[in-house]
Amino acid sequence: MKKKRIETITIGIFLVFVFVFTAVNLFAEKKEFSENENRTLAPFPALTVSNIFGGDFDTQFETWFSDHFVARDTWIETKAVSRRMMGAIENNNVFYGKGRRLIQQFSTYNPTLFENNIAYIDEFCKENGRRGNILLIPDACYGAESALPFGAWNIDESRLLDTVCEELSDQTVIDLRNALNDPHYYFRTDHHWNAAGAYEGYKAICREVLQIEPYKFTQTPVSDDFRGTMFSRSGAFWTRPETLERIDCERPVRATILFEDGSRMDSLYNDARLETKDKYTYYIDGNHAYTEIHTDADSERTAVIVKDSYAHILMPYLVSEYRTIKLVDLRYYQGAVSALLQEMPQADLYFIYSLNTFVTDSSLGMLW
Amino acid sequence: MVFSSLTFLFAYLPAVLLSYYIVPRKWRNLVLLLVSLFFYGWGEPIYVLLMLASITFNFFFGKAIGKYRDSDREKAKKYLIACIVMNLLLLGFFKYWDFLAGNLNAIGLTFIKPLHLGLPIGISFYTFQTMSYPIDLYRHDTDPQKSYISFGAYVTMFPQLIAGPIVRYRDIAKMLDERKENIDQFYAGVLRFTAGLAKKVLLANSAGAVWESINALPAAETSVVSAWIGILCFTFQIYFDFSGYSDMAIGLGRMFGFEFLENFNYPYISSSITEFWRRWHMSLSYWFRDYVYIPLGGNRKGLQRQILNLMIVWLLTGFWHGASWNFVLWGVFYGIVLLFEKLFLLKVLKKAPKWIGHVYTMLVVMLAWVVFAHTDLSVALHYIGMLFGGAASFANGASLFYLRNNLVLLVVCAIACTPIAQKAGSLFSKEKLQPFYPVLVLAGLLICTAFIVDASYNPFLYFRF
Repeated sequence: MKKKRIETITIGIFLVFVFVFTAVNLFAEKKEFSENENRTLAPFPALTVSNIFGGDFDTQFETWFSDHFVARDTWIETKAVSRRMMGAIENNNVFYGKGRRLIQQFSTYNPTLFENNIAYIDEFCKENGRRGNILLIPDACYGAESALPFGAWNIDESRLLDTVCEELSDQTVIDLRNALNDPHYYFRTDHHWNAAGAYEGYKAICREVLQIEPYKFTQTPVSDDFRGTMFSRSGAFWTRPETLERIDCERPVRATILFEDGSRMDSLYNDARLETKDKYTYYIDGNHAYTEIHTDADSERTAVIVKDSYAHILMPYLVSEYRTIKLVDLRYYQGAVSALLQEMPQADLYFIYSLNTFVTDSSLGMLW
Repeated sequence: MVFSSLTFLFAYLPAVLLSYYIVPRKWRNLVLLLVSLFFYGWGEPIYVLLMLASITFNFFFGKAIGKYRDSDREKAKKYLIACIVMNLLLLGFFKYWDFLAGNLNAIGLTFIKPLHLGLPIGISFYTFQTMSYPIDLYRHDTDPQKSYISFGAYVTMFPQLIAGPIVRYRDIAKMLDERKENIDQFYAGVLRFTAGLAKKVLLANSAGAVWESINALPAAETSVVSAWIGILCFTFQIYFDFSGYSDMAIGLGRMFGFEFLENFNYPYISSSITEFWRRWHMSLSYWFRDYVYIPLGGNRKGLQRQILNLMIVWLLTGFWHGASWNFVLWGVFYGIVLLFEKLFLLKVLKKAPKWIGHVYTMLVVMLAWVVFAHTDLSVALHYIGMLFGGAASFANGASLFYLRNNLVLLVVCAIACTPIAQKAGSLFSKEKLQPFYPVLVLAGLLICTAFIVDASYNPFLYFRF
């Protein structure tokens, strides 16, 4: 009798589980955008004859189905929790660090791409007769190493930077290895360096490129609800958010920004972005193919910067030193960087990347 | 559509269960046939025609064999041979054409070209499965199926359609027409399905991720220890993937009133390769034994002939696993090891301490998996080189990381490869353990769903234009 009851209960659990989630899924409201993933969710596959018979309707359907699966974030957090309970020290290549710090793992790269990128920069600078200023920022896995859990392992960024210094000896390589040697230079929930880290970058530029004394800056919190990319990727949604700061120079600077589409901003900061998930875009409005900054800095200097998003938080510091800065993101920029250089014969040329991007990004060939 | 997908679990399966149990018993084979055809056509709708063709010619050739097998052996034999040839042509064309063309082109013969047709899912499984029908008929091991629908349901049956077990017709002939679904069996099916799902999603996929990560290490970061952890993880992955899939198939079969034969019996506890192949993918071994090895004469025609038969079977076994030379090599390698065991090694192993047999077996199995895992032979050789010292270091930070991060997973996998848990369970009375099953099923389903949803989780670090 008791056996029959347990059998019935087990079957009941199975059927209820399968049927309830099926039904809820069927009727739940569908979202279009996943904030946590920073991407548009898949639309329902086209019900055309050619798509069903010639395409990959089945995978499109599965993608749509899982993209819109009910309570998606809760499932993802559940998986992260079970990984932790299984004793794992990372989830989706993000380490659970000390002090609830989430650190991106750097476990693979393409050596050929790395060598090519170095060669591209060297060739480009020589062709254009400029000395390049190269800032390859070590990632948190290097700088925040002391916060990594026991057993964590990353590819040795220091060794890669040795290669960079060696092979780009004709350019100015700004080495931040000694400056960024503490977790507090990086966000706790995001892969970028933070305001304190970027200040170290600025000081190094003043010392090695501009040969001037750096200004002093104040950092004022503008949001205490920042949940960064590592927060999203790790699935560790229990991690408390952190603060994001506005950066102001002791000598106030006014800046206006022009973007590739002609739109403009009268500040380095886009306050509206603080209301979204992707709050790092508060700095110079995030990724744009082309960004032109004009300032009333006490200087005639100009700069062309080829960069990834690590450069964004550096801009509040650099605007104090440059009258005009043109930023190019090669992943999206269609024009030629050499044309920009010809327009600005005196401009300083910078390459500003996180080391991780630099060894995985295949767009440096687009310099020409 | 794989069983460990959200589409299967939360759309297809409930729809199938509902439509299967809502109709009267006499229509259930029809429902099974229709939903299986849908399952088959989900990935590639046009191949439903292929499946229907396969059902049809096997059904009618079977009828003819049944008709003449007593009165006119010769005629029945002709039908049998024609039927086998057609099945093999089907398999040969879809699975091996490009391989043949590629190899001929490589030696300068360009009169045939690769066609790049998608491989119809499960074709290796269902052509073998279907061929058992005419052969068994001819041998009087079974009787002709009268209903086209029941026969169609047998050929397409979705639980074992894409990854086995390879069910011989005679083993389920009775169930096709006379099964009575019941609570006991459905309950056993739920337990088995959930266990299989957990093996696939929690163990196989996790171990597979570690293997892939280790396999992608840049040369400077490799080490002997990491290489061993890597191939160990692949060893776990392939077992839990395959046996988990068989468990799900057997479980689903039970939900619809079928009992399929077991396909795995803890292969990694074997103390010889001969034993290993009695425990690994048993339905395939039976198939080759009954339909190739024994008809060739097996061991009854002298040693030389036996050796030849053995090598033929293992060449075919390797080739069956994939149209690529590494699978052929993998099969032949096993053929040679088995031959050595037959000739003398088994006797030696019997005298030696037991652990030597286990170590030897796992070593052979793992080295063979290296060849199995890499379609490029030079990559496989390079990997084997790393296992025996040809890596950047003996152990490094990466090896420590893989051990530390996956220690629990590795231990759980190792235990789940053996009957230890079952033995420990049998120390308690069944009544005492049973109350935990509903809880385990619920927990298993929840965590598996979480892992499946997470696999589609794809955060972008950068906004895409």
